[in-house]
Amino acid sequence: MGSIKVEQIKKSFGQKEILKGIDVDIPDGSFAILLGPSGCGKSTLLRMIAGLEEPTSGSIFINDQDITYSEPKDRDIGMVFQNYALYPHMTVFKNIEYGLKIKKIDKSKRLNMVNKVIEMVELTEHANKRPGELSGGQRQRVALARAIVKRPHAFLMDEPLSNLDAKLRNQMRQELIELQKELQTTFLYVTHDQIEAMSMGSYIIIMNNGHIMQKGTPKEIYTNPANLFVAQFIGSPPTNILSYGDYSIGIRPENMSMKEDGHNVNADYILTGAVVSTEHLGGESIYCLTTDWGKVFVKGESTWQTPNKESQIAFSKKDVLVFDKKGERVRDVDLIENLLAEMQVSNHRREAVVL
Amino acid sequence: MSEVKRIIVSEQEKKVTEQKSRRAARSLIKWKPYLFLLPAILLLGVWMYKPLLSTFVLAFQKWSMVPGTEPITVGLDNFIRLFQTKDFIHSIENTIFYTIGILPFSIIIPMLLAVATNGLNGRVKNVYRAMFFIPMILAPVTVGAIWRWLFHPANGLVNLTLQKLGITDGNISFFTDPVYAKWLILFMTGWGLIGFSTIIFSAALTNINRDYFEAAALDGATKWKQLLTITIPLLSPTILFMLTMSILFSSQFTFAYIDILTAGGPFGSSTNIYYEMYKYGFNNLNAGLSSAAATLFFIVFAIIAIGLNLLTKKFAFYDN
Repeated sequence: MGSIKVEQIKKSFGQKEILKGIDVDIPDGSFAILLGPSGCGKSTLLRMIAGLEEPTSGSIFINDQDITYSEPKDRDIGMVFQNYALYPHMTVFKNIEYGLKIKKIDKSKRLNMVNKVIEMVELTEHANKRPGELSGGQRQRVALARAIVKRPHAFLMDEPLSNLDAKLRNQMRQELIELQKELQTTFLYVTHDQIEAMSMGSYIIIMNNGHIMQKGTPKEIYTNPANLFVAQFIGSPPTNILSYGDYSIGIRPENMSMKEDGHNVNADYILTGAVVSTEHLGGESIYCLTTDWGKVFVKGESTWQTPNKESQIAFSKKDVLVFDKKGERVRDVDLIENLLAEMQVSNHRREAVVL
Repeated sequence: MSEVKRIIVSEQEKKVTEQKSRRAARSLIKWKPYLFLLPAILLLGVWMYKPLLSTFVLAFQKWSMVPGTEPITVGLDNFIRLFQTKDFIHSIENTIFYTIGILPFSIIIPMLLAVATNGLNGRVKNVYRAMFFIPMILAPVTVGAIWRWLFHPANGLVNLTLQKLGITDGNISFFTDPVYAKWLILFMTGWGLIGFSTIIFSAALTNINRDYFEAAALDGATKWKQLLTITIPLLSPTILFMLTMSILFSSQFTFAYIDILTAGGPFGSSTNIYYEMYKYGFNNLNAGLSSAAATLFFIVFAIIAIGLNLLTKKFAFYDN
């Protein structure tokens, strides 16, 4: 088991600065997710923790030991690569055994360890096959097994599920969660998929453009986004943003409802918009409307009915997120209220504002 | 009535011609692929297969290639004479020497060079590739002439340097010394081959996913261990390809240098089977003896080629 700590890490490739001073503190035993759009530097950060890349400046600690410039092998970590990186000329068994063999662990102990892990990932009958003969999901398990067998302080995973189809991905997600619980080891998992992050992580670090945008539990990140980027990046459909002057007003689609639904008895505000499209997904429906301040998605229970062209949307004060010009969250209650009043969205309940 | 008959007949004729043209079209489609192959088959036939067959026939005949003379069938005489010729026995020994001796230059050194320079990027990579490749594209005759000057017994740079450094007292006649001649020819052929092989190995190396090495580094494998356990197995198709090439062509590669620098001498100490064949045929005008040597060469190397092919099938690992 191990904690991972990153202090003021900077990394440049030539003139281009990829990481601009990153601080991360991942507690021991957590399932941490590095989340961000492609090119944000998350994989680079992971590779630096693995020792495959050297930082331009800053320090990295595993279990409070400075390993910034240690060899990858001396960091005691297991890594799962995006393309698995299984040695194609070795069997499943040999692939898993390779690291132990190099560590010169004696044969009987080695066989025992490998067999145990192969059993754990349910690949016993495929032990003598080469990676080329396995399916994507099976290769994924081999890659995991190869990391597990070393019993590392921490696991680093670089988008390990991105090559799998949707169904398998869901299944593997569950298996990874169970695995982490079973091993009780720190996982650091890189992904650009916010659903993956929300469903698996116990601690999420959101990155963009070489900066950390927010760190916290999935709940904190979802309900209390620190900035416009996080609000928009997390959630599907993303948070609705209404532009008003220097401010952006955000409300999550599921925190809005179509007035006709009758689920909005507690709504503080009502907004009028024109329905552009309706998606009935079975369990829920997503409506897209245009308002004077921008496009809005509303997520509600499925009624299987097409709403009126001109519809009213209701939402509560507590669900309103306000961001300033720089995209930072505004928490000044008075300012928010003034803003909403200014927008002529009435503060009085159920009074429609015809836009 | 006759008018009607005439019409019927002409209709029938029309049908027949239609059928004929359809049949012709169908047979054209059937023969089309072979028509496309014909030029290649003709060229191969005239320049490869016909001479090959003639060689097999000539191996059992005696003929001096003098216009007006006819080949006489002599049975196995040519083969018997071959094995009684001292130079021929020498040439077999040397062929083996060159074939084995060339392997470090075609496989081991290029592979290590390719691995060592694999990390280079951009212009540096191009410069080093050009440096290694130039010997390959220089004409062997030119290269031979340059090496001959370098190793000239009286005023060559090598002799001068050796003496200046106090390693030797007098001049060494490299190309007329039975020990040096053979090694120098081997060295020159190898020198020319290193560049080509390095390029082939470099290309093969760039096809290996770097993730494997990173995974191995995390597993604790040193660079040397990575070379042994990952690079070499994944280079196996290239290694076997170069092994095949180098075994089958080493006699050809050394030929030009033997001809230019030593003419097989001194006392047949640097000759190879290829050069002997050439000598029998075009110096001694003994087509039969030359053909017998060529036939033997063909059979032995065909067996080696089949063996290498089997080896490749068994050991080459292709990473897709």
